Amino acid sequence: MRNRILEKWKTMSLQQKLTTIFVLAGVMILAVNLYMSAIINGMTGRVDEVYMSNVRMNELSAALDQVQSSTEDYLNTKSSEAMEEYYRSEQEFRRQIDGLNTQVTDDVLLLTEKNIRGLSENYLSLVDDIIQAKRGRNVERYGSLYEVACVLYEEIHTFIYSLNNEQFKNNSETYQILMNSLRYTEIVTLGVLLVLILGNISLIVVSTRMVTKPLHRLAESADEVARGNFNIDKIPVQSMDEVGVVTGAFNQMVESIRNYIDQLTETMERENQLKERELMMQSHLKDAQLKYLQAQINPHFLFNTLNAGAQLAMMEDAGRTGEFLENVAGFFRYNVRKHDQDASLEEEIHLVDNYVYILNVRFAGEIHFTKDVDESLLDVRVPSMILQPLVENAVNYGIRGLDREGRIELSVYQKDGRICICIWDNGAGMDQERICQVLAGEAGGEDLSSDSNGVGIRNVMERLKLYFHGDAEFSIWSEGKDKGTEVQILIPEE
Amino acid sequence: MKNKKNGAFIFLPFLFLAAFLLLYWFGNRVGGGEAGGYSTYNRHYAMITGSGDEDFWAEVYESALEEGKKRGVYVERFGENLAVDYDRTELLDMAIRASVDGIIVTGDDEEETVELIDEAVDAGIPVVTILSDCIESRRQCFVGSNNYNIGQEYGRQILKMLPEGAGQVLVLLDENRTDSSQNLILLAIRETLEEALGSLDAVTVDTYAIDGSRDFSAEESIRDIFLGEELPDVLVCLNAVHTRCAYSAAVDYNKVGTVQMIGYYDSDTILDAVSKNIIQATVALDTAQMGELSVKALDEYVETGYTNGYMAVDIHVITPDEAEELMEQL
Repeated sequence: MRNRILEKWKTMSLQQKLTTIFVLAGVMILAVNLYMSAIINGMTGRVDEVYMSNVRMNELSAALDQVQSSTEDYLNTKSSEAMEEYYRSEQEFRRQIDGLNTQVTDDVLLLTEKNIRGLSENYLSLVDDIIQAKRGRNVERYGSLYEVACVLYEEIHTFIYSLNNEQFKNNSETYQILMNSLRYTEIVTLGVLLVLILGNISLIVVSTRMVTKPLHRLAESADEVARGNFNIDKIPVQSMDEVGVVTGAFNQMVESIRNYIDQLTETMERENQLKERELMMQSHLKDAQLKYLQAQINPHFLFNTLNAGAQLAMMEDAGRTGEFLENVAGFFRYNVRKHDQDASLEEEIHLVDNYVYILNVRFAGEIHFTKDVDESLLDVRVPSMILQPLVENAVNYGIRGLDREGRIELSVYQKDGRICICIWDNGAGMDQERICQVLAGEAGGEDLSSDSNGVGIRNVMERLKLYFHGDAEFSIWSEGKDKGTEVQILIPEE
Repeated sequence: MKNKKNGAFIFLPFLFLAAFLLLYWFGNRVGGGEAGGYSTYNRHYAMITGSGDEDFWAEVYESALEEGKKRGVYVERFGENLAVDYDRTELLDMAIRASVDGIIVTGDDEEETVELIDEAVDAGIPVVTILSDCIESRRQCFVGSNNYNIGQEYGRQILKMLPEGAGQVLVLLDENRTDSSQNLILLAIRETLEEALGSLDAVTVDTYAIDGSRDFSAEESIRDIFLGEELPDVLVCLNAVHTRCAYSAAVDYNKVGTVQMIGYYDSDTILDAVSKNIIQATVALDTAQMGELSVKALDEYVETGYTNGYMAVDIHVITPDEAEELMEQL
């Protein structure tokens, strides 16, 4: 039975559930109220009846008086009206005494009723005798009978009066009891209503909790999900109402999200693995390239070899060859040593000297290199390998293949509180567009030609910028084709 | 969790059930208050006794009522609840007119009583006289003791109290009792004393008439004796009221021991006085037996049309030792 109700309850909608709860509570209160008011009505009715027995006794007494007075009247006047009155009152009195108790009981009041009835019947027969005697004009008889009747009349009165008194006493007690009961009823009503209200409250609390509990659980789970925890248990769907539907949908949603996340994670893991492989490949490639390059030009090896060559030339008294080899060795030594460090301006200029000497040996003194250097600035620190690439550019793009005499000038001087380093050539020159391209770093890309040591203008510009924190200026001037080029570097004084 | 919820759900109907049961009980309690059950009986007997000696008659009535209930008869103390105090003959007349099924009445030798008893018998109502007879009437039965025997018993007690065979005895008589019972008792006392002592020269037996016609007059009369100059050696009381009055007066006037008393009846107060030796002896009729026999006699007559003309009730004398025992039994 209970299970069936629970099943039915589960299939109800929220609105139906709430309506059922409130209707149930209302009906209970209504039923109890009706019941209590029925009881109170019944009691009020009985209060009304309490003194009915006294009223009846008074009526009986009045009827007896009527019989007595009508008899007396008839004896006095013998009139037909008196006769009529006598019959009427006699009938009334008889009707009244017929209502009295005839049973022998141990209830004193009922027993007194019985006695009154016996006496009254005796009285009525006596009165009847008197009337008959009066009709028969038997004066002596009705005179004596009337005396007896009078005594009996008084005695019956005494009985009625006494019974009335006793009844009044009893009725007063009953009245008191009824009044107490009424008061008691009030208290009980109040108590019952309180109990009922408490019961209703608990009913409402329990049933609404049945309704709201799944919601709470849903909210808690939603909270968990909001915090990013998708590993929650499925919420059991206990009822088929709106909450049940939402719970089902929520469960499905969480499941879907969880599946989606799993898929996503899997994909990302796969991509990461691929990327990792690619990076590994690249790094291995670079490593191989580097090893290759290192093998190609091992500067130490080259440098030591050249030194050995220079010593050999000295021993054979080939002074110019020795000098040449020394210069080449110096050039490589600088490369080996200074690659990632800064250097003094003097060292940089020395490297340029070495380089120009080597080129002049190679190209039979085609390059006329002059320098005008402020001696006080020789100790200034600059990034290494900045002058040689510029001179190399001046040779390669400026004066190589020039018909006339190629000249390169290096000058270092102070200007407006800054140090100015200028490399000027009288070579091929550049148009403005080309200058812009070079300064913007769009020219050619890295030039790794066989003659270059691999350091381009852009590299120089970048390193200057980094070294002087953007406080270095790099500029190129050329007046046009065959008008020569001037590269100027402005760096701050220390 | 789920069990807990279900538990609460089960709890609710019980709560409401309890509330309704409470209501139901309450409704019953209020509704059932009035019926106050009474039993019905087949016959209605009226018991009419003279005024006075209430304790004595209450006991007789009690046993008659009990006996009646066993036999399906209700015995009523007729006129007891009336607002007017009617005398015995008036009540007898009313009982006849009220058509009761039987009458138990204390008899006397008055003509009116005889007439009324005969009238009742004529009307088909059997009559049993109790304690004192109405010998002239056609009553069905007399239930009581032989007054001469009672007198002899008194006499024997007086002899015990006057070991020297000399002294003054005062017998209290009820002036209102018109039957011969008191005279018979007095006669028996005198004869018993004379027989034992040879003559009544040394012992004087006087009577003192108590007027009980007015309320409370008996008590006043008895106190007068104690206020008098000469007190008797033995005071004899022939009814319970006189006994209690005499005993109270003896205590009040500090005459306990000076006057020896013989009482009548065995109510608690009298037994108490006997056990304390304030009253030296009391003559008691078996009230229970008296009530029982009177109902039995009426019933016998109603059912068979015949019964014994006389049913004897036992008398016994209670001495201080016996009184103490009886008190302990109570």
